[in-house]
Parts: sequence; structure tokens; C-alpha cells
Amino acid sequence: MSRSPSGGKDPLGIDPYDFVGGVTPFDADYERPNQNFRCGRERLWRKRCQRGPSVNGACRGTTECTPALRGGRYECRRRAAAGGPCSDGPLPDGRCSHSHPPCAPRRTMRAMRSRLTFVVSLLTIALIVAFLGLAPDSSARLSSISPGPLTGAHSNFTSAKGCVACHEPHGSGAASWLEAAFVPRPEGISENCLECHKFDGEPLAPHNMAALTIKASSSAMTDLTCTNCHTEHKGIDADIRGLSDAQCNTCHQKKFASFADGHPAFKPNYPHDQKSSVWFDHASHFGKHFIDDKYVERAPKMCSACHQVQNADLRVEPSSFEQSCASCHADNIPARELVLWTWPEILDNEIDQEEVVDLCGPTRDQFEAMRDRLATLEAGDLPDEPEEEEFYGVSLDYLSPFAAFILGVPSDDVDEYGGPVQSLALEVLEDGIQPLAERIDDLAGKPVSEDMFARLSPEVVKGAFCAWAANTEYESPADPEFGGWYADGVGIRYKPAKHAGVVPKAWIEFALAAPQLAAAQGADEDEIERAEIFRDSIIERDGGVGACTKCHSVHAVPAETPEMAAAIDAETEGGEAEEPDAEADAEAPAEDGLEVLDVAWQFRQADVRPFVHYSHAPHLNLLGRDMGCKNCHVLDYEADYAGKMKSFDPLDFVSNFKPIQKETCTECHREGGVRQDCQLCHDYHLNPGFKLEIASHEEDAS
Amino acid sequence: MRASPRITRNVTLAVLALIVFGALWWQSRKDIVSLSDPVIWTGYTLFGFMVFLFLFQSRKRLSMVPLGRAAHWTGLHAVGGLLGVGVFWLHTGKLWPQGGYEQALAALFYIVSISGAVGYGMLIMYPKRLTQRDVEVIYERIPGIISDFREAAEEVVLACTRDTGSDTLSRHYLETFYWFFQRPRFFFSHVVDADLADHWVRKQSAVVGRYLDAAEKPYLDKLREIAHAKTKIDFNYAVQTVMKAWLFVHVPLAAALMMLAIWHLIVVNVYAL
Repeated sequence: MSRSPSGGKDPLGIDPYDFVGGVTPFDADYERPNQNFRCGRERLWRKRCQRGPSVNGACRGTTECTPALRGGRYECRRRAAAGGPCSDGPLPDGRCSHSHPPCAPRRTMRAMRSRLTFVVSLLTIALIVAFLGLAPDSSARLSSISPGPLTGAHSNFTSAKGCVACHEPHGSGAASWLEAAFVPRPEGISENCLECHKFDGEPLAPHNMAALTIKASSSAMTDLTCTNCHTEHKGIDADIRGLSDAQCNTCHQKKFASFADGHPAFKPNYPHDQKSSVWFDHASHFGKHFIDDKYVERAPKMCSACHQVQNADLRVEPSSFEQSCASCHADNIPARELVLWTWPEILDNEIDQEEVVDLCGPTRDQFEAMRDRLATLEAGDLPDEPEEEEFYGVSLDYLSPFAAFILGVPSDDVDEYGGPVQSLALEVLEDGIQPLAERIDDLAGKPVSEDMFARLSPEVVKGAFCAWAANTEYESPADPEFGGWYADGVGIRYKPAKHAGVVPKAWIEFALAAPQLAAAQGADEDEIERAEIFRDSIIERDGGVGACTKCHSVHAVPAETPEMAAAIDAETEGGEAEEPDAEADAEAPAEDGLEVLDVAWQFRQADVRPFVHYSHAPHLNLLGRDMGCKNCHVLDYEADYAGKMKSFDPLDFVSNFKPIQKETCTECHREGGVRQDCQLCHDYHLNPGFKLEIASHEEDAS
Repeated sequence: MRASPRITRNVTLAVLALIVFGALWWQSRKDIVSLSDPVIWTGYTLFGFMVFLFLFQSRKRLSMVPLGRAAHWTGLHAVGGLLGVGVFWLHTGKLWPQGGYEQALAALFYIVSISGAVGYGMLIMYPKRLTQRDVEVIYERIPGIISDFREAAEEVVLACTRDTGSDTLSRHYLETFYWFFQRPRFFFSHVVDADLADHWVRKQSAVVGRYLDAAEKPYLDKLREIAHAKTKIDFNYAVQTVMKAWLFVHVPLAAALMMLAIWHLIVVNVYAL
């Protein structure tokens, strides 16, 4: 079909479209695209030769055929597509008679692509090898392996040891390296993590609590590793600690959409479900004292007057006694005296007075009697033998609870305590306070007497006991105007001079521990009862140094067993606790449930919620540092706060603030409001920290 | 009206790909919330996809083996490539990784993917355009056809001079059409399917036409006819060249990508498992 646009007037009869379809497809085999070479004439946009290049790329187009010798004659073998055998025929020597200049065959596109692919692949392998083998330093070498920079805290870990700082090492050499790719190694990265990181509890247990189990079908969830949640190589600023709410929901049986939508309500007394360390009755102070005309000038005007909101985090510590309380309560302190010793009623004098005179010197009466005897002897007379007078003790008091406890005698049975008291008096006369101090230290198992008798003058002790041993009252040379130890009449007392004195603290701590100390030494019921009487006498809030416990909370805590103490010591020293001896345990007295009383001298957070964190600071910034507290902490004037003070049970407690409801939080932390994801308030790990060696190194470096 | 088999095939493949990707995504999300790391299995899945895609090259070499129609393989290759991009994102969890090596890997992956998408687009677009032209030629024959056109054009010009005694057309040929017939021209114009070549031929014909007498006009018409025919060959050349040239990017870089991926897989096995 002619496609000539010339309307049939064709001067040469040329139809250009004949050129297009004039050749049978693939009539020349070398034009197939899978051949490696094509005729070089095509590069010049000329017609290719019919023979085409050889498979090696050599031009075969210099002749039109290769004549064959048949029957002694050469025959032309030009292909039919090229016009068939030529009329000229081969030359006599067998060469083709039609010769042409040679061309430079060119590679086909496919061949060029294959060649390029091969070269690029080879180059890629060479680059990988070059990075590994020829890299100038380890960092360049690591760059061909590392999937990304480590986070800031870990970024320098690989500088010394390379990848094996975290990853399990493999043998040297390429073979060992490749072997490591296919031979599983049981040790994981977690063990290396735990060389630095530590937690309270089982590191790889859910929430570090061995008692918790995960109900899951996935082995990845039951065999927890650090990398389940923390994946590195995400960049220096990457957050590798984040967990999504969905991830929390995977394990937790109670699943909910968000804090505002489905989170359980707070506990009924939240967050005031345990005794606070410092007793302060906000209700009585704000409801009564601070509005009293006598104190109104000294009353705080805002919460921040007594609470250190400037450093607020989870803890909002109260200001010091001197800043918050002293203006009203400082004058009460000196009145809270401690009675160390009261000389009791004695029925029978068992003290050798001559020994007393040797140790103390004669009293005025004794001196005058001796002088009279000497005068009689000088006059040549024999003095009369002194009459045996009936003994009347200088004191009518009972033995003090402390003395009864330390001597192991009843305080109200003069026949029982008379001998031990007088024996002790002689010991004191000889060695000062030392005999008492030794008894206390032996009982406590550690040197506590130094603080208990701090600044107690040996002269005061000896003077008092000399007087009592001589059955006279002690006359104090001066009034204790500035506080401290003093003796007067039949007692030795301590008058506190200021808040937080060492002596009252030491006595209260010893007294609180006394019943347990006695029990630990195999004391009988009477002795333990005497210890409790001594304890109660010391911590009596309405008199003596026990007034300290009006503010400093006393509460029961589980007793520390020897095994616990050993484990804590070993942990502190960075060693490992010895395995408890099962046989010894079987023989040891059961101490489960044994509790001791502890006094909170310093402020500490009452509620221990290891998986909850809260920061007051951002809330106070938003709500106001002075009175913003009242948004959440609402006074409950009806609560029997003071009534629970006498109980030692930390959970037997009623706050004089109303419980905080979840709804208080959801006013802001809700959909469309402030963040409310799980990790905003909850931690996964139990008290995460670093092992001692790391901390020590950091200290050394600093 | 029934859809063409190609559309039916591609839609089916696309739906299958979406289902597969949905299943992979669902499993990946499930693993993440279960504190199980999906990186390993998504990595192996991605590597499997890459091997499958790479096999397409082998399929073209084994055309004599009945391994299914090339069109089906092309469709699978395209859909598999698209799915591979999705699996890549599931694997990395982000568009751009952090490590230098991994960035090189990602860069190659993106270049290969984009070149593949561009190539597949050309495979859809250009064959249709080629069939819409009057002429379809085997790529390897184009130089010879150009040569034929050149000889025919020169024969027309020589005949004009010989028959009419005027050299107007021949001089014009030497100044304009001679350049045109030496090799394929207006390459980029043809690639973007512009009409620059035909416009040029018309313009050059019109320029000389008014200086020719009635006897010379038929020769000019024939010359123009040959030139127009050549523009169609030029179009074939340009389009087929582009359809082959994109593979110079796609295939070698795909091979390099495979090399890097294999090395990455070994490194992961050594250090991360």
C-alpha cells in the first residue's frame, strides 16, 4: 500500500515506506538483540553488511562471502538476502572478488548493559571490601557495618572496643566472621547491657519483678531481653526508651484506650495511704492556730512559705524547722528534758563507805566527824565508836525505766534492784559513765552510746554518784542555763538547747530498738516488757525528749534479718551476697513478721510507688507556685488526723487532705488536652540505675 | 463492556499486592506491640522480594523456557516492586535510615524503585504511542532505514536537478535536509511526543517551495514525503532508545543493591541475631 502524499504524481516511483517493511524480520542473524556485537557501519548511520561481526567483535564485512572449494573450483556463497551468488565469482586464489573497507563493530545495548552491570557489581563488592580491609581506622571500618549512630549516652562506647562493646564477639578472620553469621550464639546483648545498668529486682523479668509472669503466646514476650524495647542505632538524639500505650496493653490484662478513657480510678486514699514522715496537722493549724490573734502575725500566708516548691519534683520537701516552725515552737524545746538516771529508794546500804571515801573523798559530815575524832585523839581521849544508825535512803523514787532496763531488774521492787544499783554506782565511781556505755553498746551491737552520752561531763556523773553513794542529794554547782547535761538532787538530766540535737535522737533511736534488742539477746517476757516501758518513757510525747515524735513520725518497719543485711552490704560493696545456708536457716529462730520501730528524722516520701512518677514542678508552673497546690490538695477538716498519731502502723493513717481523684487529673490530661500516655506517669523498670563501678568511674573522672 | 485482559491482570495483581501488604503490615504492628522485633522477618521478606524481582532479568534470558508469558512476568515485576517498597518501609520503619551503609542501601533502593516505576510507566505509555504511528520498526534496523531514506532523498534531489535543470532544490537540500537525513534528529522532541520534527520539515519545504516552479514541485513533495516518513523512524528510534536506556540505570543499580543487601544480611546475622 502506497502512502505517498504526492497524490500519485511520483517522479521516481519511490515509496519511502517500502524501506521500512522491505526486509524480513531477522533475516540477518546478527541483528538479533541478544548478540554481543553489531556492524560498525550502523554507528555511521549507514547500511550494515550482511555478514555482520564475529562473536568476538571482529569485522567480517570486508568481503561479501567466503567462497567454497567444490570440485576443484571456488564457488560464491553470498547469501540470498544479499543478492545471492555474484556474477563475478571468487578470485582464482579463492578470495571473494567484492572487498570493502573494514568497520569497527560496536557492542549491542544489551551487551553494554550486561557489562555495566558486571562492573557495577564488582565495584560494589570492591567498595565493601575496601571499607573493611583498607579503612584507615576503626570508625571508617564500622561505618560499613553500623546501621546508624548510637544515642548520646552510648555514643562513645564503641571507641575502644568497637562493636563487641555490646555485641557478642566472634573469632578473628573472615572465616570466623562468616561463621558467626550462621552459628547462633546463646549469649545476648542483654548481658552486656547489665554490666552497666542495674535495677531493683530481676533485670529481665517483667517490670523487674520475678513474681510477675506474662501470659503470651509469643516467645519474644516470655523471654524478655533489653532489645525488646530498647533498640539502638537510631541516631544520637533517638528516644530508645519510649513505649507505646499499645505495648503496655499487650501484657496488662486490664486494657484501656487512654488515661481518660478506661484507666482505673485512684485508690480511695490516694495518695495519702501511708503515714507521712513529718506530722503536721494542717487542719488544726489552719483552722485554729493560724487564725488565733496570738499567732496570726507569724502564720504563713501561702503554701510556699513552708514547702520548697522551687525544687519541686515528686517530693515537695517542707522547709526546715527553723524556717517553718521555730517562730512558734522553738521555746518549747528546752523544756523537753531527758532523764538519764534517777537515784532510787534504797532500803539497805550495801556500799562500803570507806571505799566511797577513797573514790570520792569525804563528805562535809564525814569530814567533820573525822575532825572531831582527831581532836579527841589529840586530847588523849578515845573517841566514842559511832553509833550504828538505821539507814534511810536519800531518795524515795522508783528506779527509772532506763536503769531498770539496763540492769535487768524491776523498777518498783527495791529488794531486787537495790544491790545491782549500788554495784553499778561503785562501777560508775571507779570508771565513770563507761560501765553504762558498755552495757548499751553490747545491747545495741554497735557503738551508739557515744551519741547518747555526748558532752556528758565525767565530773557531773562522778559528783552525782558520789553524793548518792554517800546517801546524800547532789547539789548542782550551777543552773543549766544553756542546756546540756546536768545533775540535780537525785537525777542526771539532759536539757535540749536546740532542735535536732544529737543526744535526744540517739536516745529515741535506742529506745525504739530496745524491745527488739532485748528479744534478740534471749530476754524473757519481763525483760522485754521493761524494754517496752523504757521505750514508751522515752517517746512519751507529752514529756521529755519524746516530744520529738510529735512531729517526727514513728512507724513500724520489717526487721532487717542478718541475711538481708549481708546482702545489702555485699551489694553496696559491689560483691555478691553469699547464698544463705539452708541448714542454718532451719535452726535460726523464725523472724518473719518481726517489726522494729523507726523514726523519720528527715522528710521522705511516704508513699512508695516504684512504677509511678510525678513531677510537681510543671503543675506548679501552670497553676501558680504559691497557692496552686490547693487545686489538688484540699484540706479535710473532719479527718481524724491527730487520732492516728499514736499508732505505729504506717498504714493506719488518715490524712487531713482529701484524696485526689482521677477526675482532677483528667481535667487536663484527656483527649484533646495534655499528654496522657502511660509513660507520662508510669515507669517500666524498678528503680533503674548504674552499677557501682560505673558510678565510681564517673566520680573518678570528675 | 469488558475490561482488557491486561487491565484485569494488573488490577488482580494490585489487589493481591494490597492484601499481602495489609497482612505484612498487620503482623508487623502486632509484633511491635508484642515487644517482638519485626525487623528480622520483614528484612528477610524484603530480601525475598528483591530476589524475586531480580529473577525477572533471568526470565528474559530464558525466553525459550516456558515460564509464563513475559507480560505476566512484567506485571508481577511491577507489582512486586511496588510491594517491595512497602515492605522496605515496614522493615526500616522510616523513610530514611541513619547509618551510612544503610543510607547507601536506601539510596540505591529508592533509585532502583523510582527508575523501575519510570520504566514501567514508559512501558505502558510508549508502546501505545508506537502503535498509534504508521510505522513500527525493529530498533536494530533503524540505521539501515535511515540510510535508505538518505539515499532516496538524494536520488530525488539529483533527479530534480537532472530533469529540470534547476539547482534550487539541491542547494536547499545541502543547506537543510542534508543535516536532517544524516542520522535521527529531534530526539527529545520525539521523547516528549512533540511535533517539532514535522514542523521543521514543513517549514523547510515551505521556505523553498515558493522558489520552485511547477516542474520542481513534485520533487519537493517527494522529498518532503520522505522526510516525514523519516520523522516517524526518528520517533521510533527516540522512544525505543529511551525504553532501552532506562535499564542502564535500573539493572546495574539493582545488581549493586543486591550486593549491598547480601552484605547487609550477613552483617545482621553476625551482629543482630
